[in-house]
Amino acid sequence: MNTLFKNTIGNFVFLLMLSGLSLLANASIDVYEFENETTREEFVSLTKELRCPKCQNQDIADSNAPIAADMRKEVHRLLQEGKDRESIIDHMIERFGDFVTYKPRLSAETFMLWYGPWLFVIVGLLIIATMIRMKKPTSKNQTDSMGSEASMTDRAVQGSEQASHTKAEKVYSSEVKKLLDKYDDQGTDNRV
Amino acid sequence: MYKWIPLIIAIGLALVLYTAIGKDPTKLETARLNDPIPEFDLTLLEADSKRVTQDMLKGRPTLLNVWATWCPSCRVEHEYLVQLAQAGVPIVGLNYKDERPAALEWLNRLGNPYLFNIFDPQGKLGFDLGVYGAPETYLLDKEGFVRFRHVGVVDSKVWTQTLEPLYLKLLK
Repeated sequence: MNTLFKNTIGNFVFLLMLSGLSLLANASIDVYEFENETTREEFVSLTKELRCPKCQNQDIADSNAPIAADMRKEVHRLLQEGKDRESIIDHMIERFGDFVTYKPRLSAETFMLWYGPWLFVIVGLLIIATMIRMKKPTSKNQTDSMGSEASMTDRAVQGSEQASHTKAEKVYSSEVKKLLDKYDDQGTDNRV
Repeated sequence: MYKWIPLIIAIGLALVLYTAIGKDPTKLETARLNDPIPEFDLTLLEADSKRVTQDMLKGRPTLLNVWATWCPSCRVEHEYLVQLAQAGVPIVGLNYKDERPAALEWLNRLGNPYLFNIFDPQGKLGFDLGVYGAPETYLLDKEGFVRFRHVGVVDSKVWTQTLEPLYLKLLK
């Protein structure tokens, strides 16, 4: 009987402590009211897109920094005033700079951020293309020679012979010619 | 020639990345740089009946120091600000999200380096300026335009190396 009583008291105290804790936890959450669901969703998405200037890798919805709380309050106030998404983001950028949004707007300073990677890809492709063209001047002819017109093949091989300046290239193109002759012998000749 | 291209790109990339080394990522750009100080209508810390607006910051180059009694780094820089004020540098205080009695007691106890203090308990002017953590010190020109912002403690090194040259330039 005595132990049961103790347990009840113990549970009661424990519950009290729990409820106290949850009260404490709730104390730091600010409550905002919205006229309609659309504004509420706008608030949620805006506070996730805006970045806290103090605790740098958190959005303002996530951050407990006082400045983040101020920014949430400001977003709410501006939404209540009927401001749209763009002007609220501009309002924040005006005060805290481009840093404040996870999706920086396009400007002279952020141009490289948005298009730099594409520039790198294009420059890279150009370099690869030039390197291929400069490295194997005969390879294109070789591909052509696989085509149906053998007369063109002969011309191409001759052309490449004229073009080749080094001994190695000469050897290479004569190898190609031999190979082609072999194909001709095997009846793959499509001469018109 | 083309075999040098990767080397050139690597060097270029190294130079670009090198410029970012040693940069403090917690120091943000100053969005208000070269803008006039935002309009405000607040009261003086020293007298709640006295209104203070942006016009009171015009007339001569001024330091605008954002401080609060809850801010430990503000306590650190306070002595140096007193020295600067004694040397004749005009400093205006922006008492940011603070309580009036505590702030006045602080000034009484530690000395008052400020010409006057703008009392901003809601942090409204602070928000419009883009203050994200006290202490911050703004350098305003005589037209009331923001010419520089220093985030963090002002000490003799910051003053002589950064703020003073800019301040002297504004005096001319």
